[in-house]
Amino acid sequence: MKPTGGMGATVREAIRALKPYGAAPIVIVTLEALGVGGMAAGAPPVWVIVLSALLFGAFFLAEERKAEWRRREQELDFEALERKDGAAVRRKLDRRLQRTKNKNQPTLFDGEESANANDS
Amino acid sequence: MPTTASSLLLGGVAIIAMLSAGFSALMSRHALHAKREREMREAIDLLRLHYDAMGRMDDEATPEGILEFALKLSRMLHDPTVRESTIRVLREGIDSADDHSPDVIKGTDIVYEEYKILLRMRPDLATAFIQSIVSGILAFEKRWPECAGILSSHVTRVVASPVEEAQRIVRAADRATGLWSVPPIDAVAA
Repeated sequence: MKPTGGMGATVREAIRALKPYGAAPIVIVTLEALGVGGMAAGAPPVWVIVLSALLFGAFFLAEERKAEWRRREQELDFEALERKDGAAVRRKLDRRLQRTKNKNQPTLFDGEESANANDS
Repeated sequence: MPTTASSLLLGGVAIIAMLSAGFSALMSRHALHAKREREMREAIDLLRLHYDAMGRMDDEATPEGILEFALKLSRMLHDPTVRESTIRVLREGIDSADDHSPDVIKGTDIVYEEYKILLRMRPDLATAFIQSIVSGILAFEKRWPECAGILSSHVTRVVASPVEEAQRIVRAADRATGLWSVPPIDAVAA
């Protein structure tokens, strides 16, 4: 019987569950611990709350900016694909269409050939 | 010191409440960003598939009408000058923009007839045509958040009859922009 075994497993489980949320849970737990610790050490509660809010706000904005950059990067990838691959494929198909159109275009001799075929 | 203990308790509760609310807001934003990033990844994959399918259509056996239609749809979906109109049309509803004039129906029939012949003669090219249509339309929807969910009600129709659905979209955009003509009736009929 290990008295800390259950606790360790719970912590590991909690870490695994919070992993998809990135650094947010760590930041929040740290801010809470620092805030409560600061107040216990005698810091004025109002200032502790204001400081925690500012720090969390800065973290929130940084996360938003990071997501914005990631999205912009994907949009640039999409646009690059459109500009390079898209333009190349459309040019190729345009040429193919032109060739097909020229092939299907009736020539001056078409009528003559069919007349000859009818004669023979 | 009861005052200090109670203010410490109150302060602790206030910090926890504030940070919990912040965490919840952060998580909802996180989910939103994750969804958008997933959509963009799908859009990129679909666009890659769209161009790959179009590349496979570069074959002597591809009929003129099918080629012209695939090119028109691809240009319409990715041309920045008509994008806004296409989005507006998709948002307002594709069905309302249906054109039942004889010329349009004739053009529609020609592309569809060519597709049916292609399906018999060269199923690989017919598959590439359908893939290019479906992936092109879906890539457009995923790329532009304004279109999110617009085509979901049409997905059944896109899967069941991709050619007709693509023609419906092209006609709708054509009406809105005036830049794109109806399917190439004269060219195909010649």
